[in-house]
Amino acid sequence: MQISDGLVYKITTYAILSVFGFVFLYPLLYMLSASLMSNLDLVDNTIEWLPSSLYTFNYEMTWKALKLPNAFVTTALLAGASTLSVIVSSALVGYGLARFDFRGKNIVFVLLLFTYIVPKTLFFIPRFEIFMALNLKGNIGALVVPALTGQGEQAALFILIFFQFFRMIPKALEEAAFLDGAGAVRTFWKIALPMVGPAFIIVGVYGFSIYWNETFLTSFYLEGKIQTVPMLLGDLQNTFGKVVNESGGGDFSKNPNLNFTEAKVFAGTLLSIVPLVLMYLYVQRWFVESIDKSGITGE
Amino acid sequence: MTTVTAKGNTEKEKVKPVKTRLSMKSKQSLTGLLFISPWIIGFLAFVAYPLYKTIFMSFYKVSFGLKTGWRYKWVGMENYKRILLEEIDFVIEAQNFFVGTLLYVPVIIALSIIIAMLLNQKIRGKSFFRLLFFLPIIILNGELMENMSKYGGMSIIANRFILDTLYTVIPSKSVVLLIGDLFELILQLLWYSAIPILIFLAALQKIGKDMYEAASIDGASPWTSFWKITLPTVYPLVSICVIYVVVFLANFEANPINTIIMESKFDGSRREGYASALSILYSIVQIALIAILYYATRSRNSKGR
Repeated sequence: MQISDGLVYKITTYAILSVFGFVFLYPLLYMLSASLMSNLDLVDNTIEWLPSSLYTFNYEMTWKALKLPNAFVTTALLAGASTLSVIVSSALVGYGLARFDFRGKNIVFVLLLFTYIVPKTLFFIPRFEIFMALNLKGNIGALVVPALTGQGEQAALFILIFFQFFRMIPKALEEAAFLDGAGAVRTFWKIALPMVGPAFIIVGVYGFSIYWNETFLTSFYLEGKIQTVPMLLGDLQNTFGKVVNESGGGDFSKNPNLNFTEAKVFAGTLLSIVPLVLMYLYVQRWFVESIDKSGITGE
Repeated sequence: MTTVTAKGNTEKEKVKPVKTRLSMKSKQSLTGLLFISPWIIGFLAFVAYPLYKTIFMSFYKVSFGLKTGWRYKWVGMENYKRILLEEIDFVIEAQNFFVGTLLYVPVIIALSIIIAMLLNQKIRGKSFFRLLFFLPIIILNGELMENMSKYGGMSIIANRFILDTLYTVIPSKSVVLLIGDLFELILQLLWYSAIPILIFLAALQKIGKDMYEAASIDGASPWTSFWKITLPTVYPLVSICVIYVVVFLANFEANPINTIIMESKFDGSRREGYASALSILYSIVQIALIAILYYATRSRNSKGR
């Protein structure tokens, strides 16, 4: 809706958006400037935003403390595998709900809503038991298997997304395929799936970031056998001291720059989000386009 | 059916009994069920059974020894009594969560609608702002939020320069502090608003421009067209967004309730039975919240559009 084409309105829009944008970006900018400061700069009252020199020591140390780039690869694999599983199961279930009628279909919808609304902690502890029994504890299966069976993180949402997209495909196409002798699986594979490209993008991008950032489940189910970047970030304070000692940085009492301050935390945090931001910059155009095309807002 | 046989007599043709075949409809049903079978398996294994187990465990004192396996001792309502009456850290947190969410949700929704409307305007740099506001979808997690807030990253009070500037403009110290607190709060809520902004923006973009043009030709002011066109389109989504926001806030790792539940599992005097009772109470709180907010914001479909 065009409020008006007038200059005043345009300026107001810019102004409000910029204010919100600034509020929004403030933490990131603050972290960036602080992370580039040595500890001496931090306590120096005269230095607020611009460090006296670009101090990269924090980044070097946290790079090692967070075990990058290995941790990036591990986390990416973990998130990637889980995301793929979620995509597969959501597409299957979404198609089944969109195109077929069977008794109890409404019950399935209600149950789907139920699994979404109820908090994770409710199922948490018995699932742990089941994973132990199925030997899924401590390896990636703890995340992948639920994802494959439609119970992954926010799976109800993803099933819903595929559901909406599949419903938008004109039925005539599928009927034509049926008349030509294609079975359900063929129709699904060759006709329905290629037409819901945007759904793959939405579920893929959003799902990947959810699984990357997932610390609740990983810290519990993986038992430290696989370390993701967010988990390592939580541990940064402990690992930092070790890394500094190993690299022969010197004595803590002599060199004040070695103390663990917020500069190091910020450096670590910023490092940890770099891959996600890169990925996001790359796909953001398709992501927003796909949301626009979806009927998720209901028609 | 009658046919003429070789002998020239008309004879009723015997209708051979058809072998029992599944009708089209039942074949369809079966295929549908097949497609959602993974979900059914998952639901039974990872939702239904754990739910039963959690409810079961909440009435017991559970302990697990590597040698003895799981041991259950029936304690009835003792876990619940302890949570509600004796060890009140959960009750306090639950109250905070309840009240907090009731206050935060309207603000988040209002902010999201405003920002979505602004992002829908024809301005240059639209893609830049979009990029900005959708960023939290990708990078937000409990660690990040915690790191940002713990070390003064989200508070302008920590930054003396800004504080002094504000103080010269607004000479009252308490007002400046208030602004600082507000800043931190709004910042946090903005980061949570990313997905609602997305949803509202997608809905707003569906409204064709011709709708507004027609309205303005008929003499509607921008305010009227906002009230009669934009708002009714967006309003049904509010209930959906509300559900999403509450679920998000409840499952967020930085939420202290989740920490309590996690730690209870390992706390020797509490263990899994206690934690299970906690989870059930928490679910009740959450469902109550969602029910209240959902019914408060549901659009009444009676009056036709």
